[in-house]
Amino acid sequence: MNAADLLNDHGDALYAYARTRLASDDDIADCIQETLLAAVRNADSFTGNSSVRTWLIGILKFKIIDTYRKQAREAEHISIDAAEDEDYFDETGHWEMQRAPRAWETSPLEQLEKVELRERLYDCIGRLPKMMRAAITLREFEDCDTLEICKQLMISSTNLNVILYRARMHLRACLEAFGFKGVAP
Amino acid sequence: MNITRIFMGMTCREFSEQTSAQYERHSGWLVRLRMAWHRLLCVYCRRLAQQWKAIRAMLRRDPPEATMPQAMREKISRNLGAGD
Repeated sequence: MNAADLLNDHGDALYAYARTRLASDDDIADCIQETLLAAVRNADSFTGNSSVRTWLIGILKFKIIDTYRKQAREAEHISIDAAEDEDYFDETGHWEMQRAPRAWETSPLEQLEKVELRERLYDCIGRLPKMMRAAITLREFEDCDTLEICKQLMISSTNLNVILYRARMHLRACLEAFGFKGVAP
Repeated sequence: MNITRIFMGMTCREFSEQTSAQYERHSGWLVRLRMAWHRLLCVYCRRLAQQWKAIRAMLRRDPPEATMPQAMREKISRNLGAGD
């Protein structure tokens, strides 16, 4: 097993996986490189029960989680008391009309089929603060449970819930800002 | 507690927080009942729930195909060569 051949045969698949989870090209390249080196070093552990690509993506997943863990150590602390979502709601707790969810032009399920929407969504994830990006990615892409994410990111479950909530609010608003809004509210 | 909150079951802020929380854990029946009532009455919160659901479904799909940029491929290739 040779790293250059693996890069040649599976580079695009590894890139497609990593680019939806990491915002920086340097991080993507580092993770792919470390994955290929780890694969060559541990070639004996490949049993052939899955395809080489699936095995490589399994390694890449752990490299990406390592990156999140490193980023979490240096990430800005997100206060659970900070009233960052105040803008969305008025003083009575109801939607500010300017920020209230608008109807999408087609139903959300039809929107799923739109490649452009997915690309925009990845852009929006890339714009999230590091901790939010790590939390939403581990939760939604990797389907990690609360305990696992809290352990990886070294945060409390209360803090995680607030981070995920804000990330979801930001993502939806970001898609609207990109033009995914439709008819009048 | 204001009248709107009583009539609507909960505020829109509470609805959005509870909707997000429900992705992580189950809520009690009373909260679910208040949410259902609020959702029935509030078009914006209905949209929020639908759009979040669509976003979640989108994120859980396999990533779309992509081609590694040539510069990145060359950089990794160079580094792998240097490591041999």
